[in-house]
Amino acid sequence: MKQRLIKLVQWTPFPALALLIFFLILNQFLSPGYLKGNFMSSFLAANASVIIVSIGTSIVLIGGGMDISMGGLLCLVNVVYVLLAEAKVPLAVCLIMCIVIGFAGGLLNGLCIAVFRVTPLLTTFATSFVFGGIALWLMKAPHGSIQREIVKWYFSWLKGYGAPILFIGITIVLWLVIKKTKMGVWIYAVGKDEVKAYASGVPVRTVKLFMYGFSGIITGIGGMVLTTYIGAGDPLIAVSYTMTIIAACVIGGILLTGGVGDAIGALFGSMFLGLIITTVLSSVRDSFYHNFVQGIIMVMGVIGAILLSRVINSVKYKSLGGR
Amino acid sequence: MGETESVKELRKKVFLNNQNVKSFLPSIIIIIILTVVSNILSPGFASVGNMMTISTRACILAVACIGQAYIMISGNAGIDMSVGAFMSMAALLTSKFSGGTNLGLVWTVLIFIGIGAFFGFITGVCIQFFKIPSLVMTLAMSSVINGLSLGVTRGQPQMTIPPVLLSLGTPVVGVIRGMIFLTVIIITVMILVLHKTKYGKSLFMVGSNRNAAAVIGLKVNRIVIGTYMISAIISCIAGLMMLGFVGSAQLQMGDEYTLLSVAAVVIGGTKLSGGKGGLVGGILGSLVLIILTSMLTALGLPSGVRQLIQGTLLLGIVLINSRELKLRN
Repeated sequence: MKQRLIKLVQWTPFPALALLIFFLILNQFLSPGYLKGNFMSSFLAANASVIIVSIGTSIVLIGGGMDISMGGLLCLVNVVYVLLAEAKVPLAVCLIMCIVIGFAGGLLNGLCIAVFRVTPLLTTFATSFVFGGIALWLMKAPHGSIQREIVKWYFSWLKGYGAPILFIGITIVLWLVIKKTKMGVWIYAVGKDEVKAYASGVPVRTVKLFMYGFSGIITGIGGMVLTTYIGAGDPLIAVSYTMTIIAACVIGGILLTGGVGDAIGALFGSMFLGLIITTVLSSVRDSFYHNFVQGIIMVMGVIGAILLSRVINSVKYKSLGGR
Repeated sequence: MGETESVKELRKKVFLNNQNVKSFLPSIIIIIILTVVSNILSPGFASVGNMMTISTRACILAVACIGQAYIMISGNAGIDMSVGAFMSMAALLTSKFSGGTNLGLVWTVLIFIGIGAFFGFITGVCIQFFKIPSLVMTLAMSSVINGLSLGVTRGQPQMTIPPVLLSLGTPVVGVIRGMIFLTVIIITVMILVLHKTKYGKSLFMVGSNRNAAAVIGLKVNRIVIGTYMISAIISCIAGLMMLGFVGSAQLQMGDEYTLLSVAAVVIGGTKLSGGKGGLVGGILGSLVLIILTSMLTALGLPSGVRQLIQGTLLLGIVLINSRELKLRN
């Protein structure tokens, strides 16, 4: 029992999980009925895309990479989906195209980073403008709508809980499957130390390509969910998501130096961040200050998570030293 | 006679192998080619008036690049994604602080030095003491700053601007505009700070090897935090110059300068790994980018395509310029 408890505390997503549970209990205590009603379902519907893309990005971060192009890629997926839907293309084709676009974007990042060995930060910074530029080129101003049936389904299946949980579930299952395979071990190895991994026979180039391609596919799924949620096209919709997603990963216990953390942490991190932003903003009257408050919450969240994980680590080392 | 020729030959060789020439020559060639091509594509591009407008815009970018270059030199994957946000904030808040008078401008500049130092200090402390990666912290800071300017201005564009600021965009001596003189002064001072002072020399050491710098007794934390403060202050000043050039302030008007400043500094040969680089490269990089942007605008391309071309260009530059060693090495 004690062994299991220690293991739980040392699990890297633990701080985020603890924060999330603490926050939910606090809110339930402060305003009873918080967990009932429509709040959770509408929260999940609105935040599913950020949660999904955070999980995808965390895989890249675990592998020692960096990605700041998700915002641009999400915009591109959104625009393509809406343009296809406007052109009366069948729904299945639209959804597949979303994933294909995501995969292509991820692969472009992967090619530049793995094959041409460019710094991930600069590559994805440049590609974020490439993706965003294409999105803005294809659609100059927000317009259009997608098939009405899927929007209705998204909001009504299982009282609105069904669709978001289904998509988040698919993403998590994909990650867990990969984690169990050889590729999962390789991703952690490359994240820890690229050179040592290479020396011990890990195909570093393939691993990196896979990691970015896979993260791209998940971004495609995220874009699909985002479009289904808003039901319309907007070439600038996701520009500001990049920061939220990276903050969610950091809060979820994933170090940007690589090799540490679990994509599940990103799930808790993004849920915690989303919940706290929603709650605090509902108490800020002046809507013009919302972005400001949101930015401050993100900074505080990142600092808090880093300090918390540091405290846990120091306790861990002390307990090891005591033995 | 033969001797002088061999001396000439030698001089030529030395000239071509000189590190500065090696890193600056490509930019200069690109600038000339771009100008010629643009003049063919849209006649009148290389006219004196247009060239002056271009160099004025390049001046704004070159000043914005100073902070970016300082931070990249400080190493540890340092990058400043908040340049654009600080520029927008400075442009938006000027009319609030100055009330549109010249005397008010003096106070405004002092206030912005304070604000820049304050936020730069917070950024630097978070990066040095909480070990938040520079990219994440400056991105977060830029959303805080953009949110702050949205809250203070309530989304309204700002029109009341001190006349002195506006006159920076007009010719002072002959065709040369005030902005250019100001930029030359700022950049000269910052180059002297970088290469002649104790701070500048320690910055290069901190950038090339943090641990070694700490071992020889440099106060690494203080130097890095100071660099972030300088970058924020310089970005605010670049924002004031942008306001003087454009003539009115809108929300997030400086956002594109974040990409442009990173691109210009990278074109100029400064590497993300730190410890190397300078400001002259950034100036040439700014000229390249602004000429390119002006050319795209003159051709009447929509903003999406412009953004696409800028992104592709940056991608192309980093593909050539900042490749890492093969793992085998």
